[in-house]
This record gives sequence, C-alpha cells and structure tokens, in this order.
Amino acid sequence: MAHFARSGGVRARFDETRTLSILTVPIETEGFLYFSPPDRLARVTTHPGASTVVVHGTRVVFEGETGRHELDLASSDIARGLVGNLMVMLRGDLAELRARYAITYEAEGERWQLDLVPRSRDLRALVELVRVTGVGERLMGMETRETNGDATVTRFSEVESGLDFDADGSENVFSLESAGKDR
Amino acid sequence: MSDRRIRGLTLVSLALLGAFCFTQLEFSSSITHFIPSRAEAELVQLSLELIDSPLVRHMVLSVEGGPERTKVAAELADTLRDHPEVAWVEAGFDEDTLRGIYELYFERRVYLGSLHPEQEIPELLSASALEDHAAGLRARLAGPDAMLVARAAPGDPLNLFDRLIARMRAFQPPADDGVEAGDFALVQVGLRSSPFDSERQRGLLRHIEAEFARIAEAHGGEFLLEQSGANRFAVDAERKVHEDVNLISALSISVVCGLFLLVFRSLRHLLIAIITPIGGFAAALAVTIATTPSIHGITLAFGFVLIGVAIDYPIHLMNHHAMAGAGATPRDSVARIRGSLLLSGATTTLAFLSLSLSRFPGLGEMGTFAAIGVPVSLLLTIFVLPAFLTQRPTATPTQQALSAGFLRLTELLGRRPALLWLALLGFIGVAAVGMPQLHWQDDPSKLMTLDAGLLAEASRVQHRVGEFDGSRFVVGLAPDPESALVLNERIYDRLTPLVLSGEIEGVGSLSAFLFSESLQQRNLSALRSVPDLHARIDTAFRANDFKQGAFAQFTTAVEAPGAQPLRPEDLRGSPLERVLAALVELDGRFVVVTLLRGVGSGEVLREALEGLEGVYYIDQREIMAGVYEGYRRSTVRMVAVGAIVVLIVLQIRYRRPVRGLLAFLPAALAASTTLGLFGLFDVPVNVVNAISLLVVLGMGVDYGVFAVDAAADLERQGSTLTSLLISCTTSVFVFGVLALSGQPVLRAIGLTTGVGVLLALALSPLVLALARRTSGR
Repeated sequence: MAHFARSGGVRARFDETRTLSILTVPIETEGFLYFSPPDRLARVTTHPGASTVVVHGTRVVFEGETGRHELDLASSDIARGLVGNLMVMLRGDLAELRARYAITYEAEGERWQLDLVPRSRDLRALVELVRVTGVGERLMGMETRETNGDATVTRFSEVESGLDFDADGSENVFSLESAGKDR
Repeated sequence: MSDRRIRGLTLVSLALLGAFCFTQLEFSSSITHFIPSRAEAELVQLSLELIDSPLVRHMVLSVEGGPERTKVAAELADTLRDHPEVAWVEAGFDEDTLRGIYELYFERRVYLGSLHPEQEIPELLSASALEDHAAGLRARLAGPDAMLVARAAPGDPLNLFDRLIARMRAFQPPADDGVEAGDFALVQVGLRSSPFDSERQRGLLRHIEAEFARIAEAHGGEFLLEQSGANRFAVDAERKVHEDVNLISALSISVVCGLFLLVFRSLRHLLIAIITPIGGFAAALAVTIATTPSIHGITLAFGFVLIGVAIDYPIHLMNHHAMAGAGATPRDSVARIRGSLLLSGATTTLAFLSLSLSRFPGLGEMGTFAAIGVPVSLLLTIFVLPAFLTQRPTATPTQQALSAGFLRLTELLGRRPALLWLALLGFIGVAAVGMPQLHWQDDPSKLMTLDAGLLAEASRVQHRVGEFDGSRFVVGLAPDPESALVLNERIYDRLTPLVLSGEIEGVGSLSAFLFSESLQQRNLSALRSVPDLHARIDTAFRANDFKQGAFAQFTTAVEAPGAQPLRPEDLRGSPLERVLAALVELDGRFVVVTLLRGVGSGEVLREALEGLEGVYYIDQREIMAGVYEGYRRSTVRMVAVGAIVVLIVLQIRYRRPVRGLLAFLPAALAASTTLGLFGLFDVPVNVVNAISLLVVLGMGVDYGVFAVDAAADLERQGSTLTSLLISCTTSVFVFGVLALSGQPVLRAIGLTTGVGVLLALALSPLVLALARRTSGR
C-alpha cells in the first residue's frame, strides 16, 4: 500500500472475464484504466463496445451505448463500495480500505494476495469477497466473487505508474463533460 | 356619577381591555385573507381549495458548494425528518428511496408496464423487440453496473421496472438548460401545516437555517443554501406587516402629538383626546380577538386609522369648548354639537358597516373593526370626555387665529360667489375628465408585495429542480379514487400530444407513479394473453447466450404475481408518499391534479380536454382576476348604495333637500374627484381603492354635516372649520403614512382616503358658504 501511495498517476491495460449464472458463456471485455491521485479514475472499455466510466471525487459519469448516466457516490453505500474500492487502493489509503473491508494479506515470495470482505451489510449482500493480487510493486489482478455465484476476474497488464496526466496534456481522459469522447 | 368616578372607571376599563388584548392577541398574515369567501362557483372553489392544499405544502432546498454538498444536503435532510412541521423529505433518488421504490414496485412490475397495454405489451413481446431486449441486456452485462443488472434481469427481461423508474424520473423534469445538475444537491421538503401559517413556518425556517449552518460548518463551511417555498413569502410578509404596523403607529402618534401641541399648546389635551380613539381601538380589538381565531396584521395596521378618524370627535368637542369661552361647562359644549357628532358618527359607521359586508374576509374584518371602533369612540366623546375637560375653557392664539382666518375665508366666498362656483366647477371638471380614464387592475397578486430577493432566489432554485407552474394545472373530479385515477389516465392521454407538439413543455401526472386498478389488471391480462410467453422469451434470449429457463422467474410472476395491484394507500409511508398530494379529497369527492410546465395557451389545453366530463383546466390567476373584477364591480355598486343610504339619512335629518344635498356634497365630490385624479395621473385602481371610497364617503359626510350645521350659527363657523382642519390634518397624515406601507393593500387605502379626505376638507368652506347663502346669513 505504501508503494501505491507514492506511485502517482497510473495507466494500465485490462482484460476482464465476467462469469454470470444466466449466461452460457462468460463476457470478455478489454480496455484501459487511468488513475490520477487522489480521486480521479477513468475506465475506458474498447471491446466489445466502447464505453467509459469516469469517477471524479464522488461524481460518477457512465457513458456507453445505452446513453449517459450520472451518479453521486455520496448517496449510495453500494455504489461507493463497488466503484470506489479500486481508487482507494490505488492511492494507497490503507485506513479507508480498512474502514470499508475486513482485510486479509498473504504473501509467498514476490507474489501477494489481499482478500477484502465488505463491512457494509448492503454491499455484503451482493459481494462475498474481493481478491486483489500482485507481484512485488505491480498490480496483477482483481477478482470479485458475488454471493449468487457470479464472478468477475480482471487482469492488468502494461501497468505504468508515476504519470502526471495534467502535465502531459492527457487530463481530458478524466473530463466528466466529455466522457466517452476523444479517448 | 361624579366626574372623578367616570375618569377612574374609564381608565380601569381601558387597562382591563388592554390586558385582555395583549394576552390574547394572535396574528395572521395569510394571503387567503384577501381572497373572496368560498361560496363561489365550482371552479373558483376548486382553485381556492388548491391554494392551500398539500400541493403547495412543500419547499425545495438547494445546497451549493464543494464536493461534499451532497453529504451536507443528506445530513440536512436527515435532521429535517424529525421536525414536527415536516411531513416528508426527499433528497434525490438516494439508496433508501430506491430500496423503498424497489420493494413497492418490483413485485408489481407486471401490473405497471404500460399506459396502453393492449398496444404496447404485444409490441414488447414481438420477436424483434425481444431480440433487441436480449442484445441490450447482453450489452449492459458488460457494463459497470452489471452486478445489479444481472440480479434483476431474471425477473424482468422486458425491463418493466426500468420503464417505471424512467416514468418516475420524467415526472420531476430535468433542470433548465444551462444549469449543471451536478453543481447542486437538492432536498424537497413536505410541510404538515399550511405554508401560510407563518407562526409554525417561522420556526421551521429558523430550524433549517440553524441546522444548515451547523452541518456546513462541520464540513468546512463553504456552502450556500438557497430555498424556494410559499412559506418563506408568508413569513417575510408577516415580518414586513409587523414593521409597517410599528412605523405607521409611531408616525401616526407623533403627528397627532405635534398637532395637539401646536393647536392646544397642551399635552394634557392630547392625553385626554387620545382616550377616545384608544378606547375605540381597544374595544374593536377585543371584539375581534374574542370572535376570530386570529387578527390579520393588515387589519391591525388599518385599526390605527381609527386614531385619525375617531380623534375627530374629541377634537371637535375640545375645540368648540375652548372657543365657547368662560362660563361654558364641558357638557354645555357637548350639548351644542351633539346633533352634529351623532349624525357624523352614524354616517361614518354606516360607511364602515358596508365595508364589513365585503366578501373579502380581510376587508370585512377591517370594516367590522372600524364599525365597532367608531361608535365606541363617539360614545366615549359624548359621555366620558366631558369628565376630563376643564371647567374654564380658553382658546389658544393658534385656535383664535385659525378661527378668524376661516371666518374671513367664508365671508370672502360669500361676497365673491364666482370664486365659489369656479372652485366647484374645478372639482367637477377633474372628476368628469379623469374618471373615464381610470385604469382598473384586477390581478389579486398585486394586492401583496413579494420580496424581490426571495423571488429571485426561489426562481433560481425552481430552475434547478425544474418546478411545475404553481398556478396552472388540470383537475379531474370523480366520486372515488379509482374513478379519479381512470380520469387521470384519460387526461394524460389528451395532454401527451401537446407535449410532443411543443404546446406545453411538460406534464406531471400521478400516472407516473400510480395506475388505476383497472389499467393494472389490463397490463396483467395483456401479458397473460400471450400463450407462448415463456418459450418466446427463451428463444430470443438463448440466441444471445442466455441460458434456457433463465427468465422463468418472470413468467412465474405473470402467472402468480407476488403482490396485489398498487393502491393509493400502499404509497402512504413510502418514499413516494408526496405524490399523493395530487389526489385530494374535497367535500366527499376526489380531485386528481395534473401539473403543467410551460403552458403557452390556455385555449389549446381547453380544446384538448373538451368532452372529458369533470375535467377542468385551471389558471388560478385568470380565475381570480375574473373573480376580483366581479367583486370590484359589485363594490363600486356597494359604494353607490352606501352613498344613497347616507343621502337618505341626511334628507331625513335636515328635511330640506338643498341642505341635505349640501351636507352630502363634500363626500360625493371628494370621492369622484379622487377617482378623477387617479385617472388623470394613471394611478392603477383596484377593489381596495373602491372600498376605501367608503371611508372618504363617511368622513366627507362628517365634514358636510359640520359645515352645514355651522352655517346657521355664526359663532360656530370659525371653530367648526378649525376643527375640520385639525381633524383633516390628523387623518391625512395618518392615511398618508399608510400610503408609505410596503403592502399594496394599505397603500391603496392610504392614497384613496388621504387624497379623498383632503379634498373633502377643501370642499367644506365652499359648502359652508353655500349653506350660508341658502339660510340667508
């Protein structure tokens, strides 16, 4: 967590496998993840369809094929838990993470594993466990297991850290007004 | 009874009355006080009922500032929920609200899919539509909210619940263009009491301000609270009425004090004279307090007018007594002018009695107040005041100079009748030229002044929430809730094309939240009428990678719904309880209200609703303007009837037509010339001005009676005109101060009566000179 706290801006490619009980096949998605500390996060999906989720503080804007939607995280424990946990971890905020989850840490050599069990009753009704894995200072993946048996596995690659999005002119990726455009 | 005993008894009685009034006084500042009584046509009555219905019992709070504004608003909402004056609080579609809506509606989704189920449900279940649903759901499962979507999908493959939520969101329209919704956190608050109950609302508004300050401070302090609600205007109006009452009473008393010091050179005279109007005021106040739940602030301010009117009687008595010279006792002086006093008091009371018959509760209260205060003051003048006056009267130099001056004036007018006739023709000319140019203003909203700052703030907040028009809506009347809901759906059907064509901007219909039970059953029947529902859904969704039987939950819900159809009582206690404000029970019938935004033409709406029985388009302003115009016309007729009654009383008293007409002349000409001046100077005139003419009529007759009575007695002429001058100056200054009030009602009364009484004074020497000519003196 100490490494995350000093790693600055982060950009990573992700690919995600979502296994749902109502589908015969898993859903595969790909895209990029951007994080600018302390509270800006963008998840840009490039496949199968183009969509963007931008988090700025407590505001969340989602724009995709079904239109544009806005959400205020302050009004929802569940949304805060689902959307905000990755941001909390990427900025290395251990105190906030402990406030939201019961944490179990295991390590074997360079590989490490962080198991997060939600403290919120509402969120616990949906999510059984969030498992974050890494090697050394590199974030490798995240798995979300739901109470109904559904699961989402996200793998990160091409992880770059220490970025300053404001300085290199790519801060537009976090714009709430142009979510989903020009990325 | 000895003079000493009379004095003691009077002072003790006044003290007791004062104590009663002080302990029992309850204020009101409701705008409904200046709306006609409710015995009107159905539409007017409906409009009046809805002015104070749950529909207007709400406020909108907007919190602006840093990123924590939503938390500040949510905490403010939480503290308000416990306030006894708060019926409900809504802080957006937060988690609790959504959970409440889910619990109430998800099991009933099969009843609430469509307003036109026979047409839309088969369309939703066509092969191509199902294919689109399946593809859409598959796409959403790849999105960030997939976890929640996947949970709801097995029970709702047709997105019936989402359609419901979309309808609900559309009810509260989006913020206006140019307003960034995310910049503000909004809280809607329902009120238990009437927004016009300023006593209760003041406490709530203070609570909101204090709680906001505390919460904002805890979150760093950089937040701005802006509010909108009828209660803010009511509380502000009450505060201003209080200020006006203080200003008017302070200035009235100061002017009267100054006059007494100037004319009588004695504060003792002032103290004696003030007993009369204070006695009249206290008696009228005590009767009003004893017979009504509360007294309107404007009535109280108007009550101070009594100081100007009722002080006329002691002024006449004291001035005549002073001029009577040594040897005349106070009771001799009373006896000399008793006839004139009684006649003028009776005619003034008659004029105010006409006002008390007004169908405006506020104006009626004012009239009753004055009709009690004036005769009480008159009786105090005749029976009590002599006990306070000196046995050895002397006129001050000011009284002597004024009296001599007036004598010279009447003699001059007697010698030069051309001057007299020229002056009279001047009055008649102004009346004749000006009256046809009168501009009548019948908009009742012009009778109350709304604070510009509060209005601007309310407008900003309303733009953020996309508020509906508060004074224009469609109502449907039905014998029971189910019939009202059926009617509501028919109204919505008629109005929807107008929204699509841009004739109106939007419609807020209860049907977004609640269907009639018959429509709900039709929805279920439409779903059940598809024989191969399960297979049809399975086929379409399997082609998009969904498992076979994944949506069995939905087909089971169609066969055996998990809940009964939604009824109005199910919404009580739910997060959506406030929408029931649109379904109001009035006198055993049910009124369902459809709110409107951006109405261009009322005619288009009326045409669209034509043929729907029990359905009306209500434009409160239009209706009330019509009502007020009718009242204004009937008030003018009432003034004319009052004038005829006064003229008959004068003819009976004088038994000589010319003298009776002369006594009536100041009243008639002052009233008509006042209107003429308003016409010439383009001063808008309303029903309150018309009613105020009764005051001019009553006081003008006083002046006429005193002038005519003095014509027969040379010694009385100077002192009578001096008395009239002092009385008139007092009245004009008191009424003049009233014209400075921020409340248009008081301003109209002040301007009309102030100008009218001044004109009546100017006419008095002319009348006296004419009366002298007719009596040959």
